[in-house]
Amino acid sequence: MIESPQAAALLRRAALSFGLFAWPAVGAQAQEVRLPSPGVVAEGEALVSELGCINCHPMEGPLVARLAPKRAPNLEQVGARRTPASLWRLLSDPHGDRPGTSMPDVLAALPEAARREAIEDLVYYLVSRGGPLDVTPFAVDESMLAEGRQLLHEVGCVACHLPEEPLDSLYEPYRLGEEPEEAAPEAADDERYVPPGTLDPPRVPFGDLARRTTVGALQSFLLAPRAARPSGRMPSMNLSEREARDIAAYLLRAQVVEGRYSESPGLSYAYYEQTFPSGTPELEGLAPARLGTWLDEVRLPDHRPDYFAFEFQGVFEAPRAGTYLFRSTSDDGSWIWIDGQLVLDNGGIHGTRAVEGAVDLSAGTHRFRLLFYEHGGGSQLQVDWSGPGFEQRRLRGDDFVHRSIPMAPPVEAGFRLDDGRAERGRDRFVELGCAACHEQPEARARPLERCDPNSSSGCLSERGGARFGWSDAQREAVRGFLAGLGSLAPEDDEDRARRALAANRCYSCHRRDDLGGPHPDRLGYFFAIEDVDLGDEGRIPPLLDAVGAKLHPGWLREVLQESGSVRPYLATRMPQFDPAAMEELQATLMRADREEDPPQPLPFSTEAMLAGRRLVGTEGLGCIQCHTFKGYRSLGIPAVDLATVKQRVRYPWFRKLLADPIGLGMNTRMPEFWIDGESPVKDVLGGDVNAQIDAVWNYLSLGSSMPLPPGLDVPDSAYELELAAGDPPRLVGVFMEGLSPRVVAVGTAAHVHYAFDVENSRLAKVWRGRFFNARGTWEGRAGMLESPPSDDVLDLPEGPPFAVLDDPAGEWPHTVGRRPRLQPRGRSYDPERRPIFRYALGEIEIEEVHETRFEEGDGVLLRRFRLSAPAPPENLYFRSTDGPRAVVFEPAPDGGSLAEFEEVVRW
Amino acid sequence: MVMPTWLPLLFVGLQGGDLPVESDYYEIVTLSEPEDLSLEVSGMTVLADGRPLVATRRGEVWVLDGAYAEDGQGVEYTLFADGLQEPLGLLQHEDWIYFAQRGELSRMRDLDGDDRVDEIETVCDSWRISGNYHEYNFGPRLGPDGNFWITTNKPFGGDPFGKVAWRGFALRITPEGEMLPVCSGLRSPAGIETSPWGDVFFTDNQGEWCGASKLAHLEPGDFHGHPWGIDSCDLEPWTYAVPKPPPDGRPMPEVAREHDSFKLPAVWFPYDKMGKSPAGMVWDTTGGAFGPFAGQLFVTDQHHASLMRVTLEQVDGHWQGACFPFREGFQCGTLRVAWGADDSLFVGETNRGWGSRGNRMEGLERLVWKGEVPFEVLRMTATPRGFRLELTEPVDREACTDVEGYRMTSYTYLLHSSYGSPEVETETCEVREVVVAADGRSLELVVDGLREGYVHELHAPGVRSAKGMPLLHDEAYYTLVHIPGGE
Repeated sequence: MIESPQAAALLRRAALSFGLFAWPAVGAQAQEVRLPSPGVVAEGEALVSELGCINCHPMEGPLVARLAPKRAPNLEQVGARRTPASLWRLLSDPHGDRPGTSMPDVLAALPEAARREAIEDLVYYLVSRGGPLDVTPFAVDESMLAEGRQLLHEVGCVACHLPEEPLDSLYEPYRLGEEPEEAAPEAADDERYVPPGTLDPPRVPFGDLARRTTVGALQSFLLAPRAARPSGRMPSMNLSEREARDIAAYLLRAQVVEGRYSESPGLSYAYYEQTFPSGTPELEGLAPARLGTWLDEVRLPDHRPDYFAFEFQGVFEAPRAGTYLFRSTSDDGSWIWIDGQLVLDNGGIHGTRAVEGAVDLSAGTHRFRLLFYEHGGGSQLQVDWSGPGFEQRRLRGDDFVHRSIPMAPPVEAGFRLDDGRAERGRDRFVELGCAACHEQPEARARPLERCDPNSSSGCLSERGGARFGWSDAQREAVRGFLAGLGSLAPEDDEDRARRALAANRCYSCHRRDDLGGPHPDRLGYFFAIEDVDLGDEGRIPPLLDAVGAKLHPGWLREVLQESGSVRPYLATRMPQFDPAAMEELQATLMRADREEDPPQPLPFSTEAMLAGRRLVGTEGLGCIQCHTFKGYRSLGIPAVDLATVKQRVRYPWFRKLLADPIGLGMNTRMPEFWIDGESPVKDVLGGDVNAQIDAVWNYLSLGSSMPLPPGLDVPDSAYELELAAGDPPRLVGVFMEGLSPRVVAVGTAAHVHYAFDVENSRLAKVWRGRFFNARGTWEGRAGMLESPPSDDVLDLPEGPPFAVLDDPAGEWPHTVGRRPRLQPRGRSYDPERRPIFRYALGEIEIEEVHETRFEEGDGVLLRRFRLSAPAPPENLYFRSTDGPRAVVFEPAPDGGSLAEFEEVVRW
Repeated sequence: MVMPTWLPLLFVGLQGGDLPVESDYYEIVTLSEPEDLSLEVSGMTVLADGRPLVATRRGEVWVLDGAYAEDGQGVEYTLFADGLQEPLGLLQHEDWIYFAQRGELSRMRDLDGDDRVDEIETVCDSWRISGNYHEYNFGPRLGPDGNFWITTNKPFGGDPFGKVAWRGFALRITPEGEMLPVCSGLRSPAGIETSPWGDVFFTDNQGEWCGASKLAHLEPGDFHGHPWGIDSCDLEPWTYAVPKPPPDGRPMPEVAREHDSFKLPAVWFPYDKMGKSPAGMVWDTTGGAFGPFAGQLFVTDQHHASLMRVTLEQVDGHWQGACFPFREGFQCGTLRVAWGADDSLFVGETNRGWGSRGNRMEGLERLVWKGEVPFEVLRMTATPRGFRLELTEPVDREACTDVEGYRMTSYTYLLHSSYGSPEVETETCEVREVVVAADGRSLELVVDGLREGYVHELHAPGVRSAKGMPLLHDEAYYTLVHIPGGE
């Protein structure tokens, strides 16, 4: 416990959160918390809320919101999640089976025989809800367990749960049955430095999962934890199906009985019939069309002519340590991973092509995975390898073994659903008050304010009907709270924010106002995905000081509720908690951090924007030395993408950051550019610091329509066919997702680009940001369906831009088939060499040209039309973004009639 | 073992190093390219001022200055147009440059002479595409009727794109933009060319329903073997008989006898022996400025990075003839050819997606005749009893009359749904007698076992010129559609 003098001050601020951190220890007695008043009261308050006291003890008035109970698990499908025996164990001894549970033992007061019968009735009832659990063995292989181990320790699970393995062992290859016996030893606090304000790391137990559930059920739970646990305290970790399966398999690895797994010769393979327009197979969540074993020289097993994928997996014995070389000759793409690491990339859609990849391996067993994908045309696969002691030869299936491991919880023989007992169980569920927490609150006990904290038979006495397993300190805290209920100190926004951050254990990863942050015991489990030279910034989730002033509400909501993320290098994921609680937290943070009279940036001007561009590039401050830029790699480390600044960050905070990066306390490696008010770039805006900061802001405000800054290394290998848009506009003929196969993509210097569907004579898409990567159109046999490489895309409605309408309020005609349609005529060019698309509607000849330009905040597109006809057509309408608009013709100077107009497209 | 009597001739008086090679006669000049350019040549025409205009698979068109330097260096590229959809041919006609894109026949022109396109017009877009990469269109070429002729690829790889009409066709487009289909049953017809006498020919690539690569004559109503487009023949613009679906797995000559509209090609290009992917072609219209082969046809091969040579003759109304190796060793698969202002031959290249011999992915080269005449079979024609070989030089009579110096086999291919066909029904043809003409410049081969409709593959290692030289290429492949004077 924190006892330093500074800590005492912090403690008062932190008080509200402590009850929660102590709570999992209830019953374990190991971590009693002794706090002086008012901490005691605050802890009591937290406990009353966590335990859901007001579900039974009704409450009225403003305190209801403060004491809102943590929601108990949803038992609707509990039978499909848990074995009957595990339910029996839990009900028999809640605090022994699940230390720290907030569920009281409501059966303890019954005589033994009645108690046993009640437990059984309840088990029958609970199992009848969606059950019984399907315990068909789930086949896993060692690679899943290895991946699961890695993920569990990397994505953030161990921020709240105890790590399953010490950090050191994670660097060793995974071997089933050879894992260390002891979990991570935790050093005592006085053995190393613990930053003040750091909270004890939570130790939420996994419990005896292997006896409780199956891989499939646990996978489903991990994918959508809130379905079973509406409290959201167990958040979604944004796992894919495969990741959830692997973590589940790892957590249940005790279900593997030694000798039960079988090792068979050969590679196992899965065959998929699937089209992957990008050419890169994402097999996640797909069902293979066939599974098999391959013993021969590796080539393609039976397959349909086109659009299929194979995934081969197995384990091989490297006879000696050294460099192993793989060579894959394939048409189309192939990839090889060894121990989960990509060592050979022959990806893409191409003719027969050989690519080599080398990897240094220790002697012993290693996991092999080969992926192959065929698009159209010919198909071929051949793999050769060589290594220490053997010359290059064909890779054979029987060089490998594959393991298949059946996993299932132990099953009690003879359990049968029994409707009569289940019904009795249902009655008991209501009688005993279970339903008050698990279903609807029910005022079955005396109102909270009238509870006698010292009653000898009440909840606190451990002799009543509901026994919570209090520690003395906790009992004291609740007593203290109840005693002071009438004169509870009001809560401000900061208090509320702290309470929510604590309740959701945000403090396990984040620090805010000198409270929380990773505990040294867990610090090692925060990884950077790549070896990025970002220091702790590259692996530890961001500081939350003044986060409500730093971020736009929309972005904060995206992070809290929509998996929004800008730090691709963090292995730890931002979990997704209960949306309602997060909505509340976001609003609270915004209020708590609100700034009075925030400074305003200078208004947008093209000159300032261009000055900002210069500063961001290598001829200025060189921001792109570290920052990713619109998806392009920086020249150095992959710091946050600058194209996201506008979307995320508010100006006042941005200003503070640039003026004094260290001052924000983020522990950032971002340098201070303007030292002592002096700019290192004198020839931009006269070296004026404020003007320069505003210029950078102006430029970044364009978001994805920012023109690239000088010095950005665009055509590197990853972007080999990235097309730079330019002046004059660049035109490319493409196939584009959702459009006809006759599309011209046009890239412009204002970073607003568009796709014109020639077949249907319509402007189809407009987007900001990067123009286009031509890989799918210019690589291999090409013909991929492209889509704009941007999140900032406007899809114009389908249908012709012009139509003759009898009733403009009616439905706009939809082009179906070829007739009637606009007739493409081709294109000409205006003096700036912008393409003028030409098409005709009967006798009406139409010209459409698009001008793009920068405006504050975003680039926009201007459509300009010129229509000519021998006589003014009647009832001709243009489909503007605001709805149909009549086209007005005037006599043309040289006879006939003419209409000219324009429309600005903003979105 | 009896040693053939011609064998010693080969070694007497000829050291290995003295044997002539292709590059003694025709030199390949590689044109320089800026590093950031990818000149995947898909169409080519040479402007009146001699500058090549080159279309690429990336949909760009470039004008080249300085393309005639002896060392190929210093070429300057100007972007004439971009944003075209896989233009696979360029044709100058009147003031316009016509080109087929995936979805339309178009024409373009530069009005102000700044080497930048000013207008692009849609001439015809009466066909649709589904979005499959293999739906290429080739051409156009100006036919004798004043129409623009194009060929259309069928899609490859099946779904997910669906089937649309007029794939696997030769189409004529009138100057007014009307579409008149000519022939069906094409597969991947990467080359189309109008002959000096006005007949239009196309090349097709080996694959399903196309047992081997071929050169065929386009006559209205003919069916060239691939059933993909037969459904389209029920549609209005098709004015000829609807082809019967072909049988699956029968030898070509049999199908030709029994299937009314099925057309045998004029020349088969035996797989791998000649090439794997014939594409563009050009008749030698230089009148001898490019060597001795005036009036003959040069055909590119996108796999072998080579040029093949073809001689054609019309026998009882059937176009047929022989193909010969001509020049290999280009830097990459060859796709398009066009005559330069100096009667050298521009050879445009790309192998993306298919792979080829050579050491580059794309580029442009120029083939220049060095003025020496190689000793070659100038022309191979069919006679009622065998074949006549004309040679570029007088021959050694004694060496050439020895029938041991000739080997001939004949074979054909299956018309079937599988990808490519093996050579089937192979038989040996005995060369019974060889008669040297009075002027010593041609040989009459009397051959037993000629078969109509079969490829006749000749190897003539015994032929010697009067100077004692062997043939530069001693092999020829004659597609004997019809025996002269036969039924």
